[in-house]
Amino acid sequence: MEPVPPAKPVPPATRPPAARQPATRPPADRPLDRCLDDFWQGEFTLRPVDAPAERPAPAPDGLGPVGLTVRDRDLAELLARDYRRLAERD
Amino acid sequence: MYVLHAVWRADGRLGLWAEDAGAFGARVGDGARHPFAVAAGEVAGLLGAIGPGPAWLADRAAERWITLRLPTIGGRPTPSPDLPVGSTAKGLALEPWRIPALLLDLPEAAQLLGELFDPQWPGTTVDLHGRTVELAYGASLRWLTAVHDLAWRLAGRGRVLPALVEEADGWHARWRPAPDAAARTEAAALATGCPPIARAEPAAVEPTGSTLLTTVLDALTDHEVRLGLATDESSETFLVKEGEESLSGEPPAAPADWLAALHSADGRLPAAPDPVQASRLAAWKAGPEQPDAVRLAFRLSEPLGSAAADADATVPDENWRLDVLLRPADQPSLLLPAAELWSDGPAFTALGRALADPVESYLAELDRAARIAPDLRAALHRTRPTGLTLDREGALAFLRDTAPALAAAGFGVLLPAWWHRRPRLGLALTAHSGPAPGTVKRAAQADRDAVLDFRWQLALGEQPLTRQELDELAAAQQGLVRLRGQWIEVDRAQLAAALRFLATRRDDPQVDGAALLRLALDDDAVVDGLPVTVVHADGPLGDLLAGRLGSRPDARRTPPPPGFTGTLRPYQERGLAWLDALGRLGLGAVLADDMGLGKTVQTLALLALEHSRGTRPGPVLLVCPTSLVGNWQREAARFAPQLRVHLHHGPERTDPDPAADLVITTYGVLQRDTAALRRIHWRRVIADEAQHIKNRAARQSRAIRSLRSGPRIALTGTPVENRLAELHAVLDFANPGLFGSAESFKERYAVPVEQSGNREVAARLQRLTGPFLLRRVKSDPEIGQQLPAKQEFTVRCNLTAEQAGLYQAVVADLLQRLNGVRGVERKGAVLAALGRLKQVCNHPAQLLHDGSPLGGRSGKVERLVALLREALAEGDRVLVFTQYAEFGALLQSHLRRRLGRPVLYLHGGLTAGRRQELVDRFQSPDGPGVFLLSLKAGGTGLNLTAANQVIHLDRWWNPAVEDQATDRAHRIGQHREVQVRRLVCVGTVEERIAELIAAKRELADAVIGPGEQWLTELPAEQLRELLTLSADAVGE
Repeated sequence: MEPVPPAKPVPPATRPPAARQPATRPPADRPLDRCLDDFWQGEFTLRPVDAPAERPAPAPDGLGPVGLTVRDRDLAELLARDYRRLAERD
Repeated sequence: MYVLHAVWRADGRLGLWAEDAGAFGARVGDGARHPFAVAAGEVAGLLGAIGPGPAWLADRAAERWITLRLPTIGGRPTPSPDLPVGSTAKGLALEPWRIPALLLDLPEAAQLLGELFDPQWPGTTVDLHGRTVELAYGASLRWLTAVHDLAWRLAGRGRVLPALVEEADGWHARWRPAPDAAARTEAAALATGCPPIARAEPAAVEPTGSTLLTTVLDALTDHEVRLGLATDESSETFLVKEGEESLSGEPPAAPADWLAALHSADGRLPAAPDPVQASRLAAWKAGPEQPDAVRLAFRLSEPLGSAAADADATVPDENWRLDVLLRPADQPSLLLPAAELWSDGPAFTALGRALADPVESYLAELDRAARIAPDLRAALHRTRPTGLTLDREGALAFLRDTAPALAAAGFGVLLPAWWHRRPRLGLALTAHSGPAPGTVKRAAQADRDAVLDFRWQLALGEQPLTRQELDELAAAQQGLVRLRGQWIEVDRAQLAAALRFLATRRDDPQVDGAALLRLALDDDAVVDGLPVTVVHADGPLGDLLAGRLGSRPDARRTPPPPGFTGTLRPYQERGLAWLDALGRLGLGAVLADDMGLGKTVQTLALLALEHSRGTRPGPVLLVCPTSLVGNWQREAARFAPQLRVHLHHGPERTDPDPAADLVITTYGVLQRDTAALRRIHWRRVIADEAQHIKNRAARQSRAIRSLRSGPRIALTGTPVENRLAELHAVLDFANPGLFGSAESFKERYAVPVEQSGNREVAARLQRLTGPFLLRRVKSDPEIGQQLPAKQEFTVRCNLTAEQAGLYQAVVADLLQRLNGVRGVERKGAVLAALGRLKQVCNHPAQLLHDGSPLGGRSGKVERLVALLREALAEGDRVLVFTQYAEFGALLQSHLRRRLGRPVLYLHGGLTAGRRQELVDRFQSPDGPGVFLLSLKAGGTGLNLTAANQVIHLDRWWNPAVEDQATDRAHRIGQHREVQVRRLVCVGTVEERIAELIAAKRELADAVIGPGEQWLTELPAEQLRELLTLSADAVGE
């Protein structure tokens, strides 16, 4: 591996936030027998049902054709119907 | 007060259980039964009290006992903190507890988790048996409802992609999460926040939060998508309907099967998918590389402590480490650990220069990798993903499957060096010359060198394994195993086959020298399903394998025996040693030296050598073309006068003399006298100009193969004239069956080499045939020093007006005939026209057959006369080849008249004696200056080194055939530089095909057939272009 170049000043906007600093291993990553103190606890939050729903684009967007066909139609084209159907039911 | 807990079981079912505050103090311990967990029926009652939905689901659940490892103190499990019993004791250790539970299958589990999802309240109040009680939802249950909520949203928003997955019961098409950045963050938080109680089911490999999240999220997402598509009729037109035959028919499963499985209830595929199609799907899912994205590399490291000090891995360490490394786009050679992203370190600095959000860019690229390699999603589901720890099974899967897929998608992959050169488990075969006690002697091969003692052993690469090592492998069964300090991949079926083989075939008398050579030389050699990784041999076999016999400059040499009157050059002595060694092993040989390098003298030296040993009675049969009978007879008398030679040839021939040392006959006589020749068991059969037997179906090929004999020898200067099938025919004559059937040879070698130019296969073929085929060419440095140079020219001639008119008439006639003509008739018309065009190019009289005088009517003949005059004036002597015997006769008298010198003419109509007479006359120091020969009768076998010029009057359009003819003069014994001229008429089909051949010289053998058959296949337009006379064709 090449030597790491000398650090240049990093713009504040790209500095790692404090939350990204290394932390102790969470219980989820520890062997169970080392989780006795917080065995019944979980550090998570449930999504509020009224949280604003920003709909991301469906996963296949921008992926293009698969290059595999069924009855002369590309698999991506056939799957697109499924994604539309899922979106309608959301 | 109750607390409801949940566990996602390894069997894919949801387990629900509850603690009862009232029972905490009242119930005494009962062995391993959890003392204050409620009965399964009570759990159902609690669900029923929540509402009609959970009640309906509880009715469909099974009541079972489950086991969980729970914090334990004083022989009792500690209560969860939600249970208001006043105890805050922490457990001292984890102990297994049996707990009554409700088990729900995936559809009911998903529905229940949806029903119980409540971000506002961590529980509810229910009316139970007429009393109001508190029901708290434990962290494990709330965590699972959160995972389900994420799965439900991923499905509803189309953040899913299809995947082909091999599960315990076969291949399935699954909908897998493809989270966007926000969902990725959410998943990582869930993985990090997974409560340990959710992982409390005992397992061989304890899941982490991220692996559990991956398992649950995968299952729930797939289920929710199927649920969403369950009544989707729009796709059904593309599915295989009940009763309709599968689109794919036989395995592997095709995309139509995948599509059907993505909409079915269980996702099951009828068969494994085609790997190429599956990798295409994976590549599609990964999407294109993002130009500004950070580049990732994956580095797999073997477990620590696997150093040489612990060569036998007595302390197994399962911790294989897969690290993710980053390559900044502007410094592609720099590899930085991903962990540095989360420190204000050099990696962040380097990446921060080019990317607005390096972490997000990294996560997006990691997600792209995870779509190809789902195992990586466990890493992605960490807050700060930097890599994974893998067990041996996971490491093997990464090495074998994931790494190639990642590399194909543009990711960097760094694997331990040994993986690329890992030894295979296979068989080692050791052979010793001479009989060993207890071995089977082979009566068919009387020579002592042909009797071998064989021993099979299992081997790792080239190293035989000891019994103890075998036992260790057997104990390990499969996967990655460390042996002698190196990792190997062991396949269970292969190991079983190996042990079975050893039990039954350790000393196998079925292997003879030829088969042993084949096993040693064929990289794909397999015996009883096991690859043969190494063959050791001593004696002549070992010499052959090690290249100590054959063409190498340092190969063994055998001088000719006393009484042999010729002198062998060093390479000929090596040829003699090679021929002798193969013969002593009972093996046939193909001596394929270039024309003129002395195949005859090497063969005679071998016969003299074997004669001098006096141990092998019986005659040798030599079969050659008629034109070479005299040559063999004279050369035998000259070099090996001790051999009694019998000529079995001519109308007055008698039965072959069994007392002779060498019987010489022709391919024609062989066909007629097959029965008589079969009555003798020949010590050897030698096929000279063995290209005559390249067509296996021809009568002469069948006849010579039917003879009874010891080792055979094929002599040919052109083992491959046109097709590799010819090589197989010659090899198969020398060593019948050794190279497999013609069909398998074609499939394995001929097709890849001829159609695809596959150099790897060509090299393999060369290695396979090496010991049995010796070919030295004139361009070999050692031989080149002994041969004068050869200069080649194309001499262009113009047509006369008469020729041009005839030429155009033939072309017009052909093109007119081709209208509406197909198949054999079309081919016949094209071939006939080509013949006529070549005749026109030679001379109008040849086409017209009118006996008209030749003078001044052919540009080519006039040019020939000029060339010959010039050559004769220089004192040179010339061979002139034509493929038309009739024209040759016309030309002979014409040339004699024009040159005022004698012109010899050798053609197929002459007896062997007359042909030899002509050859001797030409070879004499004061012989005639011009020797006209028909290509067929004089193109092979003759020694005409008195000539130093060669002219090909008309074209056969096969370089090999023309080269053979040229080599009559350019061979050992030639002392002058040889000039070769090919006469070509400008603007005609002759010139165009000559250009075509020159342009495609490398492929000529594959593209262009032995004659002109390939031309008959050309479409009319191309044919027109090829044949039409150009404006510059006619001379002044």
